[in-house]
Amino acid sequence: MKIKLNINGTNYESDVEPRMLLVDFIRDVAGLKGTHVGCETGSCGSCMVLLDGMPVKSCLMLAVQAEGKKIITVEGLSGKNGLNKVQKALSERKALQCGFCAAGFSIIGTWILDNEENVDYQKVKEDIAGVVCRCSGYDQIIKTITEVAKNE
Amino acid sequence: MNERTEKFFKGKGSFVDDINFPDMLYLEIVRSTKAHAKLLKVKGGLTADALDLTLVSTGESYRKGKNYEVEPVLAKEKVLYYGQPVSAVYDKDKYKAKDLAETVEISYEELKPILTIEDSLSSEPIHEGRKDNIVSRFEVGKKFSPESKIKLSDELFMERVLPNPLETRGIVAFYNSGKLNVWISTQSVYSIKNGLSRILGLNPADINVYQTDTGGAFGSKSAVYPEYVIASYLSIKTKKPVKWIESREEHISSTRPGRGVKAQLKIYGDEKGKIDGIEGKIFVDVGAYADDLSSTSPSWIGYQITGPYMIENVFIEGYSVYTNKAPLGPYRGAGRPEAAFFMERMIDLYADHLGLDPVDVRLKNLPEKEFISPTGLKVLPSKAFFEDGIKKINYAELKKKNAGISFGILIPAVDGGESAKIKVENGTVKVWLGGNAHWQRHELFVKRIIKEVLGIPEDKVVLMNGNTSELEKGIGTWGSRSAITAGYALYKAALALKEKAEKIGLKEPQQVLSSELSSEYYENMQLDPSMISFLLTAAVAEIEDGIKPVIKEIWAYYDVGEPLSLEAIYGQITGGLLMGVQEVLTEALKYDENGKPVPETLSATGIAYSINAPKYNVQITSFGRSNTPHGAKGVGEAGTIGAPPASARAIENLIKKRVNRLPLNLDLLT
Repeated sequence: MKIKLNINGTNYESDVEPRMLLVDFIRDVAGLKGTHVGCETGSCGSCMVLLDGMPVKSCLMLAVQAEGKKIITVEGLSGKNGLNKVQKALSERKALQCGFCAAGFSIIGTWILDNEENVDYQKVKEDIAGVVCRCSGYDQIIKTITEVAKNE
Repeated sequence: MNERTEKFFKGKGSFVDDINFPDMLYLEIVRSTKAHAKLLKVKGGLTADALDLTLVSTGESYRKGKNYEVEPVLAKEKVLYYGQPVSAVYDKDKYKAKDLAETVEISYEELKPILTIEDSLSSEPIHEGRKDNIVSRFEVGKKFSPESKIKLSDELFMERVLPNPLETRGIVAFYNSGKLNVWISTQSVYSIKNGLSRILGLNPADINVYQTDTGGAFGSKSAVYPEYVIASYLSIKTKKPVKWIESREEHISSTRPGRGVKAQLKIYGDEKGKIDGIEGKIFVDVGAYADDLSSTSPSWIGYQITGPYMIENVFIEGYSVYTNKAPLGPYRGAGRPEAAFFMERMIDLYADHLGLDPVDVRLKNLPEKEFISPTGLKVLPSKAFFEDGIKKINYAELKKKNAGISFGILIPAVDGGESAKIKVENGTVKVWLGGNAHWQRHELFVKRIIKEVLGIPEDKVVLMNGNTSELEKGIGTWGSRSAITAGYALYKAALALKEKAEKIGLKEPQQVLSSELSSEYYENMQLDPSMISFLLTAAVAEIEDGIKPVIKEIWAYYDVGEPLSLEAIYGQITGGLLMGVQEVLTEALKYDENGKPVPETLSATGIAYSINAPKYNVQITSFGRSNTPHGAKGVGEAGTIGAPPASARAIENLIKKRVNRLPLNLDLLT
């Protein structure tokens, strides 16, 4: 079936199988490789994107379900001026290790910055609970996002 | 600016699933849905009829010499674990390849699966031609006849745990112009190259292995697996690139998990807290097939059972046994956490029996001078370290919170040494290490060493992914070895480059940076007691919601030798601590009565999410340098060694019931 998805402000049209997952459309059709597949069951958040401003796991959605919505991936957060504040801080402070979770924490971190008030360590710790980092024990990630949010 | 992490935020990482070629084929593996069965019929796809190989070698001498059963690439006649590869299909469309996998017909005659160490010891052998299910036996230490006043025994068990890196395993194999090129997510391009060469009978010179960005490993990406052989074989057959990406479900059923160890131990001592000896049996459940690592695991655990202590009498009998489960592999710590959990839990038992403070008993049994245990483990005296640490973490206060404490050692796997290569090119210093970083932040120590020796600024130094055509020989990254071994090799390579530069009159760093010099060094190393680091861990538990035990706070006072990068070390420690804590609470790979893994999703394997993280109190310290020019010790596995015994004790203090099995049996709470 023919579908048209708006990802990071660009329209991508393709003839795909109805069963195609959103994450596969993002990676294989739009060629945006920053969104990763970690578990296929919504357990890890490596595939997280913003869908009309809300964080969703793109492995749990069919591509066709995202028609008519605005999809922002990790690449779309960076924009033309380089990384956004959360990404820059996560990168500079070396808060991540293997880097596979970069999309998930960028998306959820950006959502926190844009939506949460009175952000503190505990709030970030709870807000990121849907995204897995297997390397770091989370502390450096939570500290980084908290600090960026506090400086907003 | 950090060019390495920046790329991940721009979608410019190149993990293995990001590697694509025109005309690429997607490989799907059809796996056994029985844990133990005869294969009556396999129809469809590539089967053992066409590809009849075993993982290490088909050579008789190997099998005779090692005397354990090696996994076949594709099951033949019998399947011995749930998830074992039986057939393989491919298509140029990834979804169609999955459809194709469902058309393969397999019929089974089911046999009773052997799923526990106890059953394995009392059942008929799962491998025909063997007399029992024992893979190997070991005796470490020396038999002794204790005349001690106190003699206490216990049985301890650590369940299987999955490595679960966030990126699963994967490979792209492309046979082109007589060469097999392999892109792979791995801890060692060398083990992949050597393995494929031996198994497929290819000339090593005809194989190039390129490490892709590697999204975590924790031991699971060190060995050669059947899928890598199948992908390579199919690429050679079809002359097309072949990609295989593991699903999480496959990771759960078929990637090698760690732990799965039982110990029956006796501790002997006097009435004042002096330990006379430790003896007993250690059983390792290696699953359906073995390799060098899993078959020798009981002796490795026994070798280090005494940890930092001076215990004059040690005798351990070790057994590796077969079961109808996926073959065992290394998981962060690989034997070290097992030894620490067993010893520390026995010391707590002994201290409780005497009514003494567990810390006092531990301090009393540390050596005053270098001690060589009956197993051959050589440790330096560490009393000053632990006495200091007890003060630094304020144990007097923690005791009021019912804290659990563990003392530990981390023996880095330095044997064999490591290689490093430096190449100056276009104003950049490129570095390759024999151990292939999956970004435990090796780039930070690499930059520091280059700056220290060559004076070249850190932003001009890039750590490259593993590549067998750039650096021909190497070992791999595991066993907390990289900072010590690869760091040493890099240090020597940098000195050699400096010497080369000086010979042609290049003295200033800027001049070297404008050159096209390169150097390579292989440092062969052996373990020295100065490389063994000491670990003091404390944990405080709480019961949440009236039923759920959690670890609220954790203290780590860890000796890292000369710290090469504090932020890298901090992240290694907190990451390891959380894994160690979770292994006590929920993280486990259990099997149902048919031998099927119980968890079906990543979250069901019990891994830690952010809300499970305790409050960390990490103190990085140095109790002397290792005898290397850069002074580093290991750190990667420190947290997984220290956290489990301390956390188990903290929970025990809270619920007033002995915790001797991991993960925690929730029935203890009722």
